[in-house]
Amino acid sequence: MGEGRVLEVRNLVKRYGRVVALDNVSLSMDKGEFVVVLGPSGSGKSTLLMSIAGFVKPDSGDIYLNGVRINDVPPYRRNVGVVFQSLALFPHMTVYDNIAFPLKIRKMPREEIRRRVERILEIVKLSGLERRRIDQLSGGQRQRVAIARTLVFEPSILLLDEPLGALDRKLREEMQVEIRKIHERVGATTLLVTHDQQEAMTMADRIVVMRDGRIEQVGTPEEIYSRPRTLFVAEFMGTSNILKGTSRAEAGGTLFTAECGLKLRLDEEVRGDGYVAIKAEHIRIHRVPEEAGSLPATQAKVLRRFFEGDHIRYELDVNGTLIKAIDREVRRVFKAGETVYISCLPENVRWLKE
Amino acid sequence: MPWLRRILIAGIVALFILPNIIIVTASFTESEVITFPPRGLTLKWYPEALTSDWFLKGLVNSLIAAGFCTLLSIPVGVFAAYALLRMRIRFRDIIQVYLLLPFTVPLIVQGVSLLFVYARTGLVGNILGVGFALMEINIPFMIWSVTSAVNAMDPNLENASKSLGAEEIQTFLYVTLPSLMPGVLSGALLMFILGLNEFITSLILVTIDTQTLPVALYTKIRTTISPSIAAASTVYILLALVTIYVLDKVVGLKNYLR
Repeated sequence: MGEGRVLEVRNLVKRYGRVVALDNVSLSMDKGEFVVVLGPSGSGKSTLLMSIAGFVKPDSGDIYLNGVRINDVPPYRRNVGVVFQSLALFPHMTVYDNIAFPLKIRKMPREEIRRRVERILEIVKLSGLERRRIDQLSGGQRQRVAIARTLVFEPSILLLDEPLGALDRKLREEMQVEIRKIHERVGATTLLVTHDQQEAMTMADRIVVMRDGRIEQVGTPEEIYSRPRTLFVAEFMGTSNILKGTSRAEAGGTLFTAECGLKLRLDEEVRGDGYVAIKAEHIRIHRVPEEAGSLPATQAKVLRRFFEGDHIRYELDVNGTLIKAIDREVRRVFKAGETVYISCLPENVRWLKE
Repeated sequence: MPWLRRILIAGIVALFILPNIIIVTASFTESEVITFPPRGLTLKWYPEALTSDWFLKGLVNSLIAAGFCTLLSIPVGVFAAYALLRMRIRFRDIIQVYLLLPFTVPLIVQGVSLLFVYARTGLVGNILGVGFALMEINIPFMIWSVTSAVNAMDPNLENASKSLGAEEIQTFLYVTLPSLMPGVLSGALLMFILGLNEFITSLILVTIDTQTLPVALYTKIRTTISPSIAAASTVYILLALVTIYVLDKVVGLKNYLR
């Protein structure tokens, strides 16, 4: 285990009857890292989080926290901070008492508790609200109380289970930035679970995409977005163009022919049936096929055109298949109904595993 | 038609409150028997009722029995409701039906069965025995009240408490129990008032010495129809109202009886 390795999950398996919630999941986190586990509901992301928190007992596999195996350690001895989706603030306590709860349980001196609570209230910007009851707080304020309550006892790791799910869009985006800021101030090792790819991109140092209990891809937000490795990740991250087709070897390298007839050159040496992903901004539009140079150009028809300020968005038709393109060259305009040719640089075509 | 609604509401209120008004006004009569409308106006029946042996004894007995019943019902109700909802228990459904049995068995039958048990165990003539009986017949109210509080509780509350470092028992004491308090309090209030007013089962179980107030009133009215009974009844009504008022001041019913 490397220096500063906080969390190490090895080959975790959890079954509920026939459903495999976690299928051999391994994951590690370094000190201060912000990792987001991204996946649709049922992908096992919450089961993973609850296993680390100690509320789900895995069938096999190991969980290490700061080098110590914690599989058999009860939740209250793990020193893991959890923010639940429902926040689970204690309704019969004030803001102060909620935040002081973990410290009182740890039998900390009264003066020390006061000092710590005041400090954390400053960090989450809630100073002055100590005496409020939970039902007197706004949604965003409750969020901050829940985070403060888990940060105040300085847990080894902070786990957030879709904490922003209940908030409206505007507040959610504000809180994303706010949580990131708090993370920068405190430096807590943080694991957040979400189904919202936008949220994952905004907040994560590293994204772990999960599907059906397995880890599909791990990488920085840029990597996950620009270089999805599987069909699932490409679809989940909302890649504009995903095409089915066949790859075969050719003189110049690998040639991919999509079912609609679109021809593309690939960087990778792959053979057989599969999918490719191309982002809209990587589709190049030409008036004549010669503009594509040595790359294959495929004939397409312009369906619709949307002027969006610094770029133009096109919807193109290739034998009945919709291709989305973004053109930054706003001085050159293609009209709806016009016949054009499209190509793509090999480095921008991603071959996807199924 | 707002006037029609007003008349209807006024009618319903009158229907409920009228007998009480009659008994209260009858307590002010100067005649030697209960009369309505009252003849003359006097308060002389109040000191007579309030100092009489049967009233004081009945009142004390009722307060002890209802108080004991309430105290007993809190742990019974909390653990029964919590266990039924949160723990893995075999025959859960059967147990739930069983706990509602006190409602389906006629009170008179319950009284008779308890009388048999008490006669064997020497509990007849013990006021705490009456209190136990009151708890037994009314406990579904307590269980229902706590059950709704358990259902309303966020199940993650207990997990949150544990992840913050509180062990099982600490979690139950500092988080679970306080969250159930609204249900426990409204349940306890119900148990107390029902216990204070219970008549049928008590009638079978009490002796001269352990007569509760309702039984004492009934016994009294069988022999005489003195206005002091009306005065005692008025005090009885006031007592129930004061109970609710005090509980409201102490625990703030508005927050709980939502």
